[in-house]
Amino acid sequence: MKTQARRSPADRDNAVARLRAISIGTTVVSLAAVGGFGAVAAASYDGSAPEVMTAAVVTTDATTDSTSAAATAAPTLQRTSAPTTATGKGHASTGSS
Amino acid sequence: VIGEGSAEGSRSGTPEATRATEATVSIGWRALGTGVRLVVNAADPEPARRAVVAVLEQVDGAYSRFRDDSEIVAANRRAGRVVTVSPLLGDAIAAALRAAELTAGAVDPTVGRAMRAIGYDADFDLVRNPAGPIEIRLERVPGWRTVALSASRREVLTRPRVELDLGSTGKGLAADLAAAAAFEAIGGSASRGGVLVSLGGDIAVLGNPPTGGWRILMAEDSDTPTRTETGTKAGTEATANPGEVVAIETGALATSSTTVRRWQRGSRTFHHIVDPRTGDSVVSPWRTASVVAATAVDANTAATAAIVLGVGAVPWLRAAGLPARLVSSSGDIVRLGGWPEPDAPAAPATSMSRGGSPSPDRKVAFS
Repeated sequence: MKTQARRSPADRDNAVARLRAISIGTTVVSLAAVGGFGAVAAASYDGSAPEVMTAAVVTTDATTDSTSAAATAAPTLQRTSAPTTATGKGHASTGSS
Repeated sequence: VIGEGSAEGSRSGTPEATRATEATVSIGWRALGTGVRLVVNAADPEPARRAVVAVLEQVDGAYSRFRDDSEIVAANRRAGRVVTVSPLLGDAIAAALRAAELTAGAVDPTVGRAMRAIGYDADFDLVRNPAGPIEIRLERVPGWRTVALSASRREVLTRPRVELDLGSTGKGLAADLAAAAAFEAIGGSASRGGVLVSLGGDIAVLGNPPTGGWRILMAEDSDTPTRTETGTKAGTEATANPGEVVAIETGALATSSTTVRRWQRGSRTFHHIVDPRTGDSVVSPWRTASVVAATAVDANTAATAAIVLGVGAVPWLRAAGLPARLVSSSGDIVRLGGWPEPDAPAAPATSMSRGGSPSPDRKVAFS
């Protein structure tokens, strides 16, 4: 049976040196990649908080059956003073059109 | 042309200006397929008129459903994809979604396909007198939650095939914007006067009102002449109860009604208020609803919701605390939230009286 020849101490030192070079290279490349990614992210972000599109989530079910719940909803339509009785000619007519 | 003694407006496209009272000038014309009235309580109405015209042109280009080149028509064609919209259309969609949320979907901007399906697919003059074959089908309304809006990025995303129709809230918003522009045009402060803008009966006022407030004739058709002694149309509530006039000093008053914008297809009659639950013209115990609120958008939202909600409208309006006047299909009038009885000072009580006989002794409590 053949056995592998034993490496010399010089071979081992060379291997260790290559491993160190690979490790250092990988670290440098990784740091450069992180820095580059950060730069791109910073350039493309306007500083405002992430926003979810309002009102409505796109859902798969129709929501129109919820109309009956309106009576129990808490409306926040803006109020103003009630109208008063008036006489004479109107400045305008209200009504659908 | 400014003349004395009449507040009636022109039904043509040509503006007509009249001296409505000793202190106001009233100008009427047509735009967006409806009647426009501008009343200015200021020395010179012309800057206000120009401002209103400019706003309505912008509105027409942004969200008219009947213009092939409008922004909303283009956005509807791109349903299913993110569309960047103008600030005006973004605001209009935001207002419509807010209305939908506040009414739990009773006022829904996704009724566009349903509206077309029942025949309201062109300017109303064409709808009323169709030349082609009759085809009616009902379309399920997808619901306002199928619309997503980023207000800051002005991007809108709808599900494929969803068509937005900003009809009711869009008209109210246009009245609010036009009133704001007109008020700014006359100087932007109450000391410089006040303005009233009526867009198809959605009325917004700003600034210093005339003595006694801005007087509004209650009708079901906003084209009803404002002279209370003449000119009402047969069959309208104004004929049954001529001359009910209220006054507002701030905010807005809007009316929704099933008695106008009606059309026939075969044996069926349709109107322009779609029930989002069915996709069909709504069947409601109320034929007309008028509401006073801080803005025309909110007043129109509440008025339209009242028609759609039917009997549920009374508790809903009570909860909202909005002054309202509902006319039932038989002509009974329900007044809520401090809406005044005719010939009586404003009172907070709720009451019901028969249309045409607003005598106090015929009032009964509404339960």
